[in-house]
Amino acid sequence: MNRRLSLFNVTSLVLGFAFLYLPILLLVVFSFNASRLVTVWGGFSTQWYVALFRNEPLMEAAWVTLRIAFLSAILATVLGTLAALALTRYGRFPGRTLFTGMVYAPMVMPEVITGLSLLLFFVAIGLDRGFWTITLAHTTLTMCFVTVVVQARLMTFDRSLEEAAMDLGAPPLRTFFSVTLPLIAPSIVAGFLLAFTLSMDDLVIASFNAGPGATTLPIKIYSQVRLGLSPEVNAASAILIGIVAVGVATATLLSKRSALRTQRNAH
Amino acid sequence: MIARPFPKRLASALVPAVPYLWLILLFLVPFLIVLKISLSDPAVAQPPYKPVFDWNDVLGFLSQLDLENFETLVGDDLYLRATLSSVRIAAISTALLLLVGFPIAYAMARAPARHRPLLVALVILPFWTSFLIRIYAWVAILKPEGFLTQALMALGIISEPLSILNTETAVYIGIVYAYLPFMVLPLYATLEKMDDTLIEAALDLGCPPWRAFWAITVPLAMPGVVAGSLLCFIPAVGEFVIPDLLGGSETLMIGRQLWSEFFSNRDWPLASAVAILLLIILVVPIVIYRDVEARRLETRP
Amino acid sequence: MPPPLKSASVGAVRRSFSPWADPTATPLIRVENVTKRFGDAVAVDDLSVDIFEGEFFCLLGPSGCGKTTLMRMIAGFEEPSAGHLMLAGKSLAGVPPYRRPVNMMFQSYALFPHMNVEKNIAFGLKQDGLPKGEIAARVGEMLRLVQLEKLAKRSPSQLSGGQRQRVALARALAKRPKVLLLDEPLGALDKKLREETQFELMDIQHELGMTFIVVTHDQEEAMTMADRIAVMDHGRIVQVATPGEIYEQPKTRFIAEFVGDVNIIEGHVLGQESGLWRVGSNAAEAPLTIDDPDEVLNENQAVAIAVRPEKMVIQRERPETDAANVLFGEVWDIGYLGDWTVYRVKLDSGAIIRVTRANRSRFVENPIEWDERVHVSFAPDAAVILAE
Repeated sequence: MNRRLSLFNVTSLVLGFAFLYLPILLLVVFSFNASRLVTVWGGFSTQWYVALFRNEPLMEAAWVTLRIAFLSAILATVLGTLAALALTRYGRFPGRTLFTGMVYAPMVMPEVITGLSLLLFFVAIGLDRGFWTITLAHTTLTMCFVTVVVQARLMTFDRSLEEAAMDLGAPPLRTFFSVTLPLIAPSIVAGFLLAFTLSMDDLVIASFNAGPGATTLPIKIYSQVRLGLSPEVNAASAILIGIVAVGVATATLLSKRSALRTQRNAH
Repeated sequence: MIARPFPKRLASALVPAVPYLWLILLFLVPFLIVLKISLSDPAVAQPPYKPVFDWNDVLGFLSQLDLENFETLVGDDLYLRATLSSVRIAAISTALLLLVGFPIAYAMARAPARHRPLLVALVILPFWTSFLIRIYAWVAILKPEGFLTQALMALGIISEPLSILNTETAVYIGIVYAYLPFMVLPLYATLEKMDDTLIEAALDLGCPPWRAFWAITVPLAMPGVVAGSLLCFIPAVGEFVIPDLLGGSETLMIGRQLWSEFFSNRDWPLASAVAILLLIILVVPIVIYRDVEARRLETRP
Repeated sequence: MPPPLKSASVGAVRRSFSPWADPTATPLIRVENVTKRFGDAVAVDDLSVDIFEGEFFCLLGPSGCGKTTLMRMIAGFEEPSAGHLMLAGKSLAGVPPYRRPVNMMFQSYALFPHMNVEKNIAFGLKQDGLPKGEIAARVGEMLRLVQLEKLAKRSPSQLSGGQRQRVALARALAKRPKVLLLDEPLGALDKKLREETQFELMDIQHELGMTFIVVTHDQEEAMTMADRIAVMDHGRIVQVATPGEIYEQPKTRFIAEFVGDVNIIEGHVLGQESGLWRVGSNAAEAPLTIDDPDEVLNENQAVAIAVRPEKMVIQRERPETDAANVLFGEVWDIGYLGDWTVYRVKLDSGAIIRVTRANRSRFVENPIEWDERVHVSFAPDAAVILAE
C-alpha cells in the first residue's frame, strides 16, 4: 500500500518532534554557557562540567544511583522474566487475576502511593531506610515493566520452535535454555535497560525510601532545582542525556546488525 | 499429563511462585499497611503513629483504629479542592494530550513503512532521558525572562515578559510534554494496524475523506484512545514533580498534598489517608486499564 | 471438406449477448490509451478497452500484470498518468472515488469491523442521505438477495468467510452502481464454495442486469463467469474475447499456456496445401498438418503448435486414419484424477507432453501401463498455430 503524507501530516510530525526535542536541546546547549544566568548566553565554557566533577556529594550520589540501578535492574529482570513466563506459559493458574492486577497496577499507580506504601512497609518490618530499601522498591516497580516487555515477545513467539527442539530430543529445561532464552534475549535486554533507566530516573519513590547515607542523584538534583536554575544541573543533565543517546545509538546499531544477520541467514 | 518427578514439578512451580510472592510481599502487603496506618493516630514517636501492631493484643490494636483521618479529609475542604483540582487538571491534560498526540500518531502511521521504526524510536527516546531533567528544561523556557519570552519578544509578538511559570498553564504544558509518548504510542499501535482498504471502501461507498475519518478511523482507533488516555490520566492525577516545579503555590494537587503531609507535617497517618483517597479515585480507571492491557496482550496473534 | 467459420461456433454459447460485436453500440466504460506509472515502474501501459452495459467482464492475468491497477483507476483510487477513462460518455478525470457511480467489492472484503452486517450494507446508502425507510427497505432487499436475513445483527467477526463475502457483495450492490468492480471476489473461499459462488454471482448479475468487472488470476473462474475475458500481461491486454475464443483460439503462447493446459510443439512452416498448413517438427517423424486458416505465415517461419491435452488421443496401435498427426513416445507418468486420467508421455525427441483421457467407463481392459510405447495423435483442427 502506498500511503501519502499530506501537508498536515508532515506539519504534525515536524511540530511534534520540535516540541519533544527543543527543550532538551536548549538544556544541553546552555550547559556550555559561561554565564551563571542559565537563560542568557554569555559565551562558550565548560566550567560547569569541571565544577560538577569537583562536587563530591553529587558524585557520591551518582555512584549510589548507579549501584542501585544496576542491582535492582538485575533483580527486576529475573523476576520480570519469570512473571512473563508465568503469564504466557502457565495458563489459568490459581490467583492469576490478582497476579495480572499486581503486574499492571504499579506501572500506572501514582508514584507517591507506591513510595509511601513501601516506606511504611519497611518501617513496619524494621528495615532501616537506605541503599537496600531503595533497591527493593525499584525492583518492585521495574519488574512490572520487564514483565510487559518480555511478555509481548513471548506472545509472538513461535511455539513450534520449542516443540521442534523437544521433538529432536531436548528435555524442557534444555529447550528453554538453548532455544527459548536466546530468542527472547533481546526483549530481556530491553527489559533490563528499561529497568535500569527507570531506577536511575526515579525521584519520588527514592525520596520516600532514602535514608541518611543513601541519597540518589535525582534527589540531589531535585533539591538544587527547587532553589532555581543552576548551570551545574544543566551540565549534569547534559551528561545523562549524552549517556542515553550513546546507549540508544549503540542498541540501535546492534539490533540493526543482528537484523541484518538474520536476514542474510534467511536468504 | 505426564507425571514428572517432584524436583522438576517444584522447579516448574517456582516460575510463577517467586514473582507472585515478591509482588504480594512488596506490593499488596504495603497497601494493607497503608490502609491500617490511615486508620491510626499520629504520635511523637518512632514510628510516628500508633497503635503499633502487637500479636499479644490484637483486639486492643483493632479497637484503637478509627476513621478520624478520613473525617479530617472530609471536614477540611482543602483536600476536597485538591482532589477535584487533581482530577480536573489530569482530565484537561489528557484531552490536550489526545489533541496533540492524535495528529502525530496518525502521521506516523501514514509514513512510509521503512521510516516508521525511526519515528517510533524518536518518540520513545525522550522517555529514556530523565523525567526530572525534562521538566527542569521547561523551567528555563517558561520563566519570565526565559527562552519563550525571549523568542516571542524577538519576534515582536509580545512586549511584556510572559509569566507562565508557576501557573496552571505551565502544569498543563509539563504534563503534555512528559506524557506525550504514552499517548502517541498506543494510538500509533492501533492506527498502524488499521487496514487502509477500510477507508477506501468508505470512499468507494460515497463517503468523503473527512467524514470517513470520523466514521471509520476514529471509532477503530478507540482502543488506542482509551489505553493512551488511561495511561496518561492515572499517573497525572497523582503527579507530584510537575506541579511542584512548574505549578504555582495555588496549584492544588493531591500528590503534592500527600508529599507535604508526609515530609513537611510528618503526619504519616494523614498522608496514608490521602493515599487511600487517591487510590479510591483511581481504582476504577486502573481496573479498566488492566483489563484493556491484558486483553490487548492476550488477543495478539 | 472445408470446415465452417470457427469463430461463430467456438466454445459454449451462453446467451445471445454480444454488444462488442455491434459497431453502433456505445460502451459504458471506455478506457483510452491509459498508462499508469508508479515511479519508474509502468503498471498499465497504453491500454485501451471498451466495456459494455450488462457485461460480465473479467480481467485475467498473473499477479503484477496491472489488472488491479486498472480496476483501481476505474474506482478512482488511482489517477491515470496518461490517457482517458470515460463512464457513460463522461470523463472520469478528477472525479474522486466517492462521487463515482461505481462500487467495489474488495479482495479483503474491507467490512467495517465496528458495524454489524446491516450497518455495513446501509453505509453507502447513508452517505447518499436517503430517507431511513428507504434505507431499511433497500438493506432488507440486499439481505434477501444474498440470503443473509438471519445474520443482519451479527458483527463481521462472527461470520464465516463465505458469509463475509456475501456481505461485501451486498454492501457494494446496495447503491445500485452502474458498474460493480470485484477484486478477486472468490480468492479467499475454499474450492467447493468458490464453485457454488461463481454461479451465484452470475445469477445475481443477470438478475440485476448490472455491469460486473471482475479481476482474477484464476482462469477457471474467469472462464466460468465471464461474457468476455481480457487477458493481461505486463500492463497490456493481450487478447479480449469470449472464454471460448480465448481457450480455443489463443492469440499468443502466453495465453495458451496461461489459460488451461497446453502442449507446445515447436516447428517451422513447410508450406500450405489445400488450406492446411504443413509444419515440420523434430517431435514427429512426418510433417504435421494443422487446420488454422486465419493464420498468415511464411515458409520456414518458426512457429509453435498448441494442442490441448484433451484433444489428443493416446493408444498402443498406430491410428488408422491418415488425417491425424502422430507422435511416438513412452509413458512417463500416469495420474488418475477420477474424471480424467492424465498421461505424461516422453516423446522420442525428449519433449514431454500431456494427454488426458475421460474415464467414461468404470473398468478398462488391458489399460496402458507405465513405460509402454504409445502413439499420441491429434486431428488437424485440434491444434492452433502460434507465431513465435
